[in-house]
Amino acid sequence: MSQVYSLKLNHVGLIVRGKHSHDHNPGKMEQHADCILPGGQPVGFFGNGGDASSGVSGPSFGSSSNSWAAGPSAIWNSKGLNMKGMVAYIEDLRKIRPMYVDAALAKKYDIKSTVLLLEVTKDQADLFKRYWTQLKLNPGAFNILGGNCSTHASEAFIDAKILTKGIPGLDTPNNLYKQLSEKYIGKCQTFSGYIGVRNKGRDLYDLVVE
Amino acid sequence: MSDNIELTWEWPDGRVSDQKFLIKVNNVESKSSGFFGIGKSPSIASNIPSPVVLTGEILKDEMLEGKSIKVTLPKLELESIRSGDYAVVGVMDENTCICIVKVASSSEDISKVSCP
Repeated sequence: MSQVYSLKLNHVGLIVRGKHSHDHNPGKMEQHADCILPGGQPVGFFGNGGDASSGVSGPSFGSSSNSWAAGPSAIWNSKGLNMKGMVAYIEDLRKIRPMYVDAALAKKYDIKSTVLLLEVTKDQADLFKRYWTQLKLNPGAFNILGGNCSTHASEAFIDAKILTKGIPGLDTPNNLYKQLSEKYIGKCQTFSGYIGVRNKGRDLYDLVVE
Repeated sequence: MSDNIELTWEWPDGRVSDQKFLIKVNNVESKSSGFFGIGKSPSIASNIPSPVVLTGEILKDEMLEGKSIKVTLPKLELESIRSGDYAVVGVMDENTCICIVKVASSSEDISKVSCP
């Protein structure tokens, strides 16, 4: 049975995909960070294949480059380095990670997440949203070490003056979650389970937890 | 030797295929998680849950008959498709596969197969 939580314009949040509960520590390659924008829309930073410096994103159907042969950028990419970055808002997530926006699909794919939700000032909410708007325009490179989903989520919280320093230790979604939950102990809400959102008009969403 | 065509998997999200191809499935196998398990990281867009690599051969297409096709897709979307089966793949934007449907034989009229 699903529970629905109404998200407001002064809410921002962190979603750690693969984190089953507040105390669960997922493996480094089993977690991903998305953020919740004011109003409830999820957004996240992903590696999107291709060499970040080449402008080439991958093989093309019907072109002479449609080979499986791996060149140098494919080798770097296989290590999660210097990959093109992309910011995925809900319309992108529905194509590349529909189980991140639909709780029933999260259950089908058995992908549990933990959400940390904070109430912030209007200025902080505006700054948080602006960070993602600007990153979408120029996402830069994705690097699994130090330029990943949690790095950018952390920067959004810092830009919004919700945090004052970067993630302690390795940039992982779970380390960012721990930093936020320790700083805002007693002032944040957390939810775990199969997580999705439900649009309630324009850019406003409810959080759905199964 | 035939050229190889590699498709990227995305969920349809209401989109419709530009092209459909009938294929014979030659192989289905789990995808390796690669260097330090990078292939498992959900922060890389192409790293889908429980990935399997399907390879096959395109049949009965004026331009692409005989070419090999490869797509990595979630095991859940593969359903009961196995090596030796026939299937229809729906493609959009040249190299994005948004559906795969098992069909009974190579004589299937793919225009009547629902593969969005």
